[in-house]
Amino acid sequence: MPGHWRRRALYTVVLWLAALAAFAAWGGCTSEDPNPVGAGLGQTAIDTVLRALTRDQMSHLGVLDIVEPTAPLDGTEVLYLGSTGRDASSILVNYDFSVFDHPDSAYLLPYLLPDAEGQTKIAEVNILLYLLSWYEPYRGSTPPDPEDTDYTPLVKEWLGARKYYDIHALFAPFDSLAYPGPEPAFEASPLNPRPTEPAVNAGTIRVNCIKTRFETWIANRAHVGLIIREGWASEPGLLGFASKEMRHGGSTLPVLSAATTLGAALELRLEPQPPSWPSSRRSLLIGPAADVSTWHELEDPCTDPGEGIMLRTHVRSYPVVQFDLSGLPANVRINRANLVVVNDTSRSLGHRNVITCSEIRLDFAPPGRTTVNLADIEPEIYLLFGNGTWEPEHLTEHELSLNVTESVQRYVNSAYAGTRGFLLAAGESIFPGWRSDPKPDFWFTKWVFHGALAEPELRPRLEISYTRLDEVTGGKDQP
Amino acid sequence: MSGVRGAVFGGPAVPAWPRRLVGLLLVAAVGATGAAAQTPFALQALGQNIDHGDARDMGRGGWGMADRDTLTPGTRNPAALADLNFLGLFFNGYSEATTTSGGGLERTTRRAYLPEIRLGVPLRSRQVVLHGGLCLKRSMQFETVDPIELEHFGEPVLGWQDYRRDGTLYTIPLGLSWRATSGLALSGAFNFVRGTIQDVITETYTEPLGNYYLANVREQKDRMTGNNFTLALLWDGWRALQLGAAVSTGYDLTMQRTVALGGVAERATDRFTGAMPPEYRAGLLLNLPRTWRFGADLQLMPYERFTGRPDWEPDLRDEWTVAAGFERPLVFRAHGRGYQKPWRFGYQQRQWAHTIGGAPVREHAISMGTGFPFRNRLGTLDLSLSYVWIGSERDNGWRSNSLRLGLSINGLERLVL
Repeated sequence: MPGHWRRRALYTVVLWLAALAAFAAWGGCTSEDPNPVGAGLGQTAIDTVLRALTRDQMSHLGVLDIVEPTAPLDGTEVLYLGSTGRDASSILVNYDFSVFDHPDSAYLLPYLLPDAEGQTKIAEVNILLYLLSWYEPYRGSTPPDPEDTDYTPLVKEWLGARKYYDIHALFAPFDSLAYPGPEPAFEASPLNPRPTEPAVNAGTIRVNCIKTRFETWIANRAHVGLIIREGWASEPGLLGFASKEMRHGGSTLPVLSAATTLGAALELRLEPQPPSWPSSRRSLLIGPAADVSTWHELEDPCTDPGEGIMLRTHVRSYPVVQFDLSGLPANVRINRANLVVVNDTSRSLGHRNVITCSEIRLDFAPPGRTTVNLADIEPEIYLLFGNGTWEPEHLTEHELSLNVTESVQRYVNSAYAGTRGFLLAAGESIFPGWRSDPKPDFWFTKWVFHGALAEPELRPRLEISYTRLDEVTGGKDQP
Repeated sequence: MSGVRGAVFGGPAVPAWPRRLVGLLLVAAVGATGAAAQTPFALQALGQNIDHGDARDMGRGGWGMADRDTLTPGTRNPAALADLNFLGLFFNGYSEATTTSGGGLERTTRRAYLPEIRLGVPLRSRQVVLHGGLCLKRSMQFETVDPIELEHFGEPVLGWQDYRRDGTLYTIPLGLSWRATSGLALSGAFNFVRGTIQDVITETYTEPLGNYYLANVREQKDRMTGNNFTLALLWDGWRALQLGAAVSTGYDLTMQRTVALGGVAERATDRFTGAMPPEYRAGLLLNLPRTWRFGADLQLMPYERFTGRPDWEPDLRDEWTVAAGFERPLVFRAHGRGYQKPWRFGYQQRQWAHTIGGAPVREHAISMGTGFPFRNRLGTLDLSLSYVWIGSERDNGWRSNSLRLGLSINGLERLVL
């Protein structure tokens, strides 16, 4: 290649590369982020943005009472005692003293049965109740610093200090499957001296009983039933105790050492003790053969929209609501739709729990009450929302907003046939991501929300924010 | 021989590197086409006219209707393509950095375009040429972001509104150019006109947190279709004066619209027919002493006659362009002794097809440029640099200042069908 051609080729290559670099650098660099420069020059717009629509008249209120064949009431882990004015429960316990016929108990009989002088070695008989931590003072947490002037209690006062206990013998052992139901008949005279002062010791309440009846029952290897009732002069309130089925333990129970005799245990203090016992052991614990809460008074869930809406756990009852959506224009964008309910703190009580909101066919939960198996609900629901931080006894936060945007948009889009409503429920196992631990049959929590007859700001309502395009909506005449 | 391979279509051997570079350039240019930005004046009606011609035209102010180059003809006047001796490939692109200011705000945007690709195939050398390609005529792209502050359900709601317009109107010409006499060339082309305009408004809400509002997305898409003809002539019978003219006929531009609101199943559709006006172009070229040339072009598209979009019509104005400039053309010296480097400069003024703020939008450009031939005279690389200013803050509320770097590649292959 001649020299001048080589130089020209090199010159041309350099020139090409320079031109390409300039072209790429000039145009390929990133532009500055958009900002208000040019704002307002666009000729298209959204016609109506965030229009507010409130619907506070319920068109439907149904109640689903939940049953679960594998989890009957007598299988729950908590026993409830007390009353609130609308709800009341006592504790029923059966003891089977035929256990002393077992050869392993033979060494105890000389201590439990009367000797030649008609005396037993039983010095004292107590019924032990294991109070759940949440019902203790300050609910198991450290008491507030008295110097802390900013301290604001989140919960009501402690009920345990105002509770007395009456224990009576039933005329016959109870059938644990008959509850909730009325209290069974019991003997008029109590088994414990009246009044019995509560004695709280690390979560254990010890109620001293008259021992003679128990000596007779043991001697006869009797099968007996007791009822533990809220005593005279008690102030209202429900307390929860471990049942013999208590498995959860953990933070719900302060006493785990008694795990083998949970439930309303019978404590027999022997004097003297059998020589085979360790020196520290003073008493014999006898666990219950059966125990159950009576729930002889249980407020009916509201079925009148004007009255209110109730969501209850332990004895589970879940409402299904819907509102009149006829005022909602067709084909609008739902920016936010909140189902707002306002807690009636004069009626709500209990432990914090998960609240879920799901879409459900209204004919699955017709007006009134419907008893349904929990497993049958699962195929009918479409989970929309969940929250696990709300407190039914919160002193200030009473308004609960459940985001149902997705469901209202589906309604607008005619995504399903028929009409659907909103199921408010606890964190059941059928709600992935919102399963509560312990399960909803553990705590007795009752949420009562104001009804449609309350003041406007207290009513349950759907607060809908929507956006409309005239082209898509079909004209400007609609609201 | 290293770096040299046989030409495509079986022509004589030419170096391989120009073709590789062309490929690289294409990749770079196509990749850059996606970069967002332009001027906010493009947010209305049919946006900005981006039919600037090739870098040779841009460098001398934008004229080229009367230009005749028997070796590498320009594409501004398709009649000039009749003089093609070889198969010609034309890539015209430019990149632009634009700063728009107004009301104390400013934004700089950058973008690269490849608005024209054209192929000319001589059916009979220097007599009849078949040509076709892709030519972007108008662009409508810009994006704005504006904060949202309002009160709703008794609580403050904050967020921002993003408005993004995107779209192009382009033609796919297919035509013939014919050298009728030694002083007259004619061309006729059928143009498929296609394009889309997409307007997307996104409203995003950032407050209240936790109990948030879902965003709004309004998406409007207009798909445009139409067809027209372009007739052109180039009269170059005199050495001192050459003339060129072209007319593209008016046509119906059908716009098929779809409007959607995010989250809503329903879609709205509509159909408009816009009566697009004809486009007239004319130009002259004067050969001056000492190898310099002076040229000027006029372009007129009477958009005030446009009908079919009542939302646009009140703001439409006739679009016109005046371009003038000087050029010392590329001249190859005899017996392969190099060439005379071309130099160009010029000025252009254009009135846009719509008003902004009630006032016409004027676009001004001053330009300069040069070019380089490929080896064996098989094409040219041309460059141009323009300073462009559009609108005024006083009349239009905004002003855009651009630096525009034009780049064209006219590649020839020794193929005659």
